[in-house]
Amino acid sequence: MTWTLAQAASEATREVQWNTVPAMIWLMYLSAAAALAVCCYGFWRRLRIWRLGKPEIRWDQPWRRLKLVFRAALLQANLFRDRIAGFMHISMYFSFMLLLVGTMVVAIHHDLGIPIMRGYFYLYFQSLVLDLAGVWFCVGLIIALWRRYVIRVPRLEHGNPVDGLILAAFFVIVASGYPVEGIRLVVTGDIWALWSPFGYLTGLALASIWDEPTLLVIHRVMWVAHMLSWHVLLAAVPFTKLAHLVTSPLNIFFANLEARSIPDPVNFEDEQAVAVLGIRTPFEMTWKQLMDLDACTECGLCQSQCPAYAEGKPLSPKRVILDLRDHIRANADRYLAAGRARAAGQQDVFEQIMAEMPPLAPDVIKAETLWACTTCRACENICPVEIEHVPLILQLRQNLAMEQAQMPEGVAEAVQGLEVRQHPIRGATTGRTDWYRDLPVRVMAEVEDPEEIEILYWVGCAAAYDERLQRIARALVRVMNRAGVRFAVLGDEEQCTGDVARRTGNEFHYDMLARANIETLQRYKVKRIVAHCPHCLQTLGSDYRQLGGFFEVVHHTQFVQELIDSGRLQLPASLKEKITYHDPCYLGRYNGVFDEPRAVLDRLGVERVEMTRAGRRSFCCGAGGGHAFFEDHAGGKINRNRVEEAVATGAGTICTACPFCLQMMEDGLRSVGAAEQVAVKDFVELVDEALAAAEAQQEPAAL
Amino acid sequence: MGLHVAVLIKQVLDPEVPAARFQIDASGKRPAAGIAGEVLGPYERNALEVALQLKDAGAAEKVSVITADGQEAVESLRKALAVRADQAVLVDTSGHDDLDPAQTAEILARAVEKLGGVDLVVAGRQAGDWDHGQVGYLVAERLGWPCVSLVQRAELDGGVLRLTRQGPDGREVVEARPPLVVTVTNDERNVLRLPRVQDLMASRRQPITQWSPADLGLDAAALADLAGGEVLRLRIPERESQCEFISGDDPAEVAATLVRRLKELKLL
Ligand code: SF4
Ligand code: SF4
Repeated sequence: MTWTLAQAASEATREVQWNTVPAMIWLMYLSAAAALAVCCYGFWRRLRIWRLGKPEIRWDQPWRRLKLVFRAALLQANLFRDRIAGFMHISMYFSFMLLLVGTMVVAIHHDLGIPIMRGYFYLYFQSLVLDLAGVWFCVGLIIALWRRYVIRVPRLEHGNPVDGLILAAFFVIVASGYPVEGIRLVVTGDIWALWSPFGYLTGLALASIWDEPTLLVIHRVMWVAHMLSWHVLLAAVPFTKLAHLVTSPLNIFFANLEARSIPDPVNFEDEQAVAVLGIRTPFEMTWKQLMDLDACTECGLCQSQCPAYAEGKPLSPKRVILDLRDHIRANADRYLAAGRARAAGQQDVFEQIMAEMPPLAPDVIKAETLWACTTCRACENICPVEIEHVPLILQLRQNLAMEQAQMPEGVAEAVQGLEVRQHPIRGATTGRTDWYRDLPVRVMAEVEDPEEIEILYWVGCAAAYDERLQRIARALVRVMNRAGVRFAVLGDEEQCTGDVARRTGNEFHYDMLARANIETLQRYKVKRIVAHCPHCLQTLGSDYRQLGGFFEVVHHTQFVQELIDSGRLQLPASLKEKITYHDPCYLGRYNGVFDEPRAVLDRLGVERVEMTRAGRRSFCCGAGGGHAFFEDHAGGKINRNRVEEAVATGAGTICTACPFCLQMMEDGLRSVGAAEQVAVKDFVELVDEALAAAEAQQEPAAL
Repeated sequence: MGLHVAVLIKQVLDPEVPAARFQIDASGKRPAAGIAGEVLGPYERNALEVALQLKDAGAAEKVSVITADGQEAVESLRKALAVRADQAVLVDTSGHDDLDPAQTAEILARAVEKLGGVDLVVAGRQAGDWDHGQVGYLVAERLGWPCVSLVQRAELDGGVLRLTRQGPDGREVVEARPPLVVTVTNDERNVLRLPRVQDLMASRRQPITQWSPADLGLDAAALADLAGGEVLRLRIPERESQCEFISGDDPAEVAATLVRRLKELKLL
């Protein structure tokens, strides 16, 4: 008996297209062909839009790219960024994929005549696994419906009504699939029925209500419903958020592996390149930026992390992406016609069509929206499909600032300051070099042998001109002197790195400053630079590469750690304070420095407590993207939000590693009335304090 | 036919030079060179904006900017071109240092005449370095045109200029017919616009009309004759401050002591 069963099992299969009439089969092939055609047409339209964009190379390192896709698509690694949603997505995704494979197996077996749907494979996979996959899909579906319609997760709001229809179609597919399977199992008395437990149960339940002729009718109706809803969904893929089944893996494959979150440089010498500055129309976007818009899954994770959105400012990174996408879709015919004219060399026709199209900023994306962004990168960090919001926002700002000469007053003043004084700080009462007058600091121009200098200290404008922030620079100088570091500064030859210009879209001014600084640094053959300001770190170390300035730049947190590791600096474990460390965006998310400051703080003996939003998920202080220089009045205060979180940890000191964060935190503490109880200090101020205290203790002993 | 507006500008030492950095040169008569950058003077910025607004409104057809200065002032002229002034004129006065308001006014008035067809001269109320506040009026005197001072905004209405000016008790509106000189004071509505970067780049290639005082019929002797005054010495005021803490057992006593001290110091 056992033997016969095993033998039978190895022969197990089922009849395909049981209980159908030829008309049903014809309908199936016709509608499948139609659906496939519509689907291809939809993607072809997308492709044509992407091809309007400017060229950009995004296919180097193909293996690394494939690995990313594999991780993201097959392992769904990016989705663990939110647990429940991740589980929902994984459930629907995997079960959907399994069912898709099942459908293909049927096609191969039946249409190609290759009999693979048989034996144990049929029993285990085609029957049991797929039966369970359907249930798994239902679980995901229920979570999705629950999140969207019952608890109404805020980041899913402004969803498209079509999204609900998609879920409904999925529901029809599942709800018709089980009766189709179950009725066949029951009516044919399939001996392998138990291998499809849920289908069999459905069949038994239906059989207990209706007699066989009715069941056969129900089966046909369900069969058609199952098949048609499937095909409708297939046809709808490119036109709905389901498009991401295709666009997400593509977008991840073409992800930016290098200069993240910074715009491409502009060649101001090239007359064609400056005819339009920044992004005015889709034609100034690269094909990848256009693809980004179509790759958005509308998951809203970016919005859930955005500090501007959190404080009720008129910015949601998701909305920026979707509003641009919707605008381009709604005007696709005109943009495509313009693209054809341009390709045919009919510049006048192109211009005529484009004259009627509004500039994307401020007509499609409002100026307030663009100015609200702090360039914190939280959105890009979390986006599961590697969409790049920040360069897009910055290039839209470029068009506003440079071509339309529109920018907030504070930004305009900062930029004028850069033009006249090479620094953006208003009302400075001292010169760039006054802060170190009484300290042993050497200036590069006066150093006889520049080779002897091991590291250049890039001071940055904030610490040079602001009295409070000068204390950071003074502390770092003392610490470096204690360790015997041979360093020098550029003094009056240092100009603003151009960070504020670049992040406010004033690329022209950035370009001037960057080139001047690169020239100076190269003249002194500077190899290594230490900066206490993460904005200087980012600009000197990463942005300047685009202009041919290659320097090794380290942050002071990294440098101090290095001094400790090499034994040049001994830290006493004497700071018995409760401290929370705030990750600056440009240090953490931009440059991946999370551990060094924490490690050094731990060595100082502090009791370190973490805020909920720390590390990669750190919450911006509100100063980035030029916000240190202008007040944006809409909504609440980002720094207040952050300070409240810091105060809630019970720490007596907030440690930062960025002069702008420090200012924002101090200001925030004053606004919540906690400035008396909680102190804000830069990382190196704490190091310096501990060292000074240790020396003070030693001195009497030495006497 | 729209107006031809001439804007008189002056490039000055950056008024935001930190006090700690301000120095006087060896002659003791002027600020040391190189302590800070130079900028288009603050009121001249407002004056330029008033003229540009007339052009935006279609009232002015042409805006010319004129300055009497050394070659370095080309920078400011280019700034004016970058915000779309039509013509820039430099009367190169290098070699004639320390021109006083009377000399400057004579040069500028002659430049306006040489330019020809000017209907309206717009000047800042005073230059951001010496703050004499005389050139605009002297130019009007010299051209024999009426002058309206402290103007904030100008509109043209059927050949009549309607000028909003800052009066002693608030805003006044004055109507006047060109030709005319106005001096401009700052107002939130005449903050100089920002240049578009494309215009900024184009301004670098635009020509600057260059004249010398001789081209205006002024030789060194004639210029010297015009001098109305001379700077003898420039000095940085020394400010001393002392701090005295008033103590006492209770606020009432502290207040009483404070009043006594203020009376002693003849401040009350
Ligand atoms: S960079 Fe930061 S502020 Fe800007 S959109 Fe993204 S999350 Fe929001
Ligand atoms: S941009 Fe990325 S994170 Fe934001 S909604 Fe789209 S897919 Fe989600």
